[in-house]
Amino acid sequence: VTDEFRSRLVHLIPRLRRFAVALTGDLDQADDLVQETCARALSRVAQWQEGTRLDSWMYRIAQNLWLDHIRAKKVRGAHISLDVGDISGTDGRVVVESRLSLAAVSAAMADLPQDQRLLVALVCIEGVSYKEAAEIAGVPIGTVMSRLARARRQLHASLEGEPTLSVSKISVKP
Amino acid sequence: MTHGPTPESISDETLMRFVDGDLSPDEQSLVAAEIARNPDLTKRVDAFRFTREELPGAYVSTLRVPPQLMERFLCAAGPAPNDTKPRLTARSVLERLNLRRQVMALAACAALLLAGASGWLLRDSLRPDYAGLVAPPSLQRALDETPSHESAKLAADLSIRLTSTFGSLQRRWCREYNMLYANRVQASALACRGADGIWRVEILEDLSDPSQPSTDPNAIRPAGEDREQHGRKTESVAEYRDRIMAADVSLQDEAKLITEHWKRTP
Repeated sequence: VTDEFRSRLVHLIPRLRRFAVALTGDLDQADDLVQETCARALSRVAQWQEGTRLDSWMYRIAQNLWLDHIRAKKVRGAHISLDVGDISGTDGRVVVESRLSLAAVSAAMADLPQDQRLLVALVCIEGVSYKEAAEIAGVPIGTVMSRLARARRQLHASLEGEPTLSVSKISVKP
Repeated sequence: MTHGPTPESISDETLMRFVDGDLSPDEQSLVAAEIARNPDLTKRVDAFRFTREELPGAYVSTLRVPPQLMERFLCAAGPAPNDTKPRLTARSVLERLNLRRQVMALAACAALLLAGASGWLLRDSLRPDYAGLVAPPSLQRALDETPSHESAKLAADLSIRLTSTFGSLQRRWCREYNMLYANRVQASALACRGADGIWRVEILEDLSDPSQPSTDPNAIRPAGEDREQHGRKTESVAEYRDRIMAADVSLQDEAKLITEHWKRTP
């Protein structure tokens, strides 16, 4: 484990945790997932190629671990256990970051199919490109765009109560 | 792009790419003009703007990782490849790992703990002229409260054993200690307490040489050997201690310092 790797991993952990919360919809499960992802990364650091994106590699590890977990436990969708108490800061004060609460967004995310939730977490929350998301998710970029567009329309409708208006040229089964 | 925008028909995927800045400049301008002309397009594009601009804010609180949680993440040793069981304990991991991997896991843990608490790189901590690396909370407590020749637990299977206390030439209290993982000495280190009451790790010497794998936990290793690291000779903890030490502290005086919360200056 090189110093550079250590430093980059430490700096990546907050984002990895945010990604895990978006993916699992549950803080406890997210923290378990981050722990497992770090453990897996540290034990397989030789597989990471210097010069490639560490965040993409870590997201892929987290995604695979989560899918394994879902298969093993037959978890259906995300667990919604996020409430105001769960997101208070370390000093006990609740900090309002957004007009949307984490609980509300997590509930809406939980209604999405797992593959769509993953893409929303990667692109909308983590800000990765479609191409990187396609590589992490292991699907063609066209599939990323169609799934993502569908997921975002559904989230908007669910969180803003807007009717779903859509015109899609690409028809992809989930 | 796979589906270029036309004034007559703009797909949701294209609107999404417009919002995400994924179109070429020409396409971006064309779509922007169409959106300005067509209220239906404005409504449709709202979903993509909303999810781009509003969703991340809901997750901001999750970016704050408490130090204890950071320690937990970083001290996780590597599970077996096909294991999906959450919350693996260090003990269960050790049952499956060989010694070299244990040593690597600890080295990573020790370094990451330090880096995680302060954001500094481990290599900085190995520089003899390094200004000081803030010790994580569990280590601060252990250095404040643990007498020499006694151990303090930092995390599961991770502990330190204090070896000595002395006053430095810079008039700071300094303590030398060994880091143990699964009862094996893995590193020797020296931390000094600043005027702000914070212990900073001055130097950390990796002792996890695979050619010297076994160490009796009751027989603490001196950290006085010259070592080659990354092809260059580095100063050992003992050499560093000898360079900065002004006066040794007896066990009785050390007990007083602990009781008085290190108020007195050397």
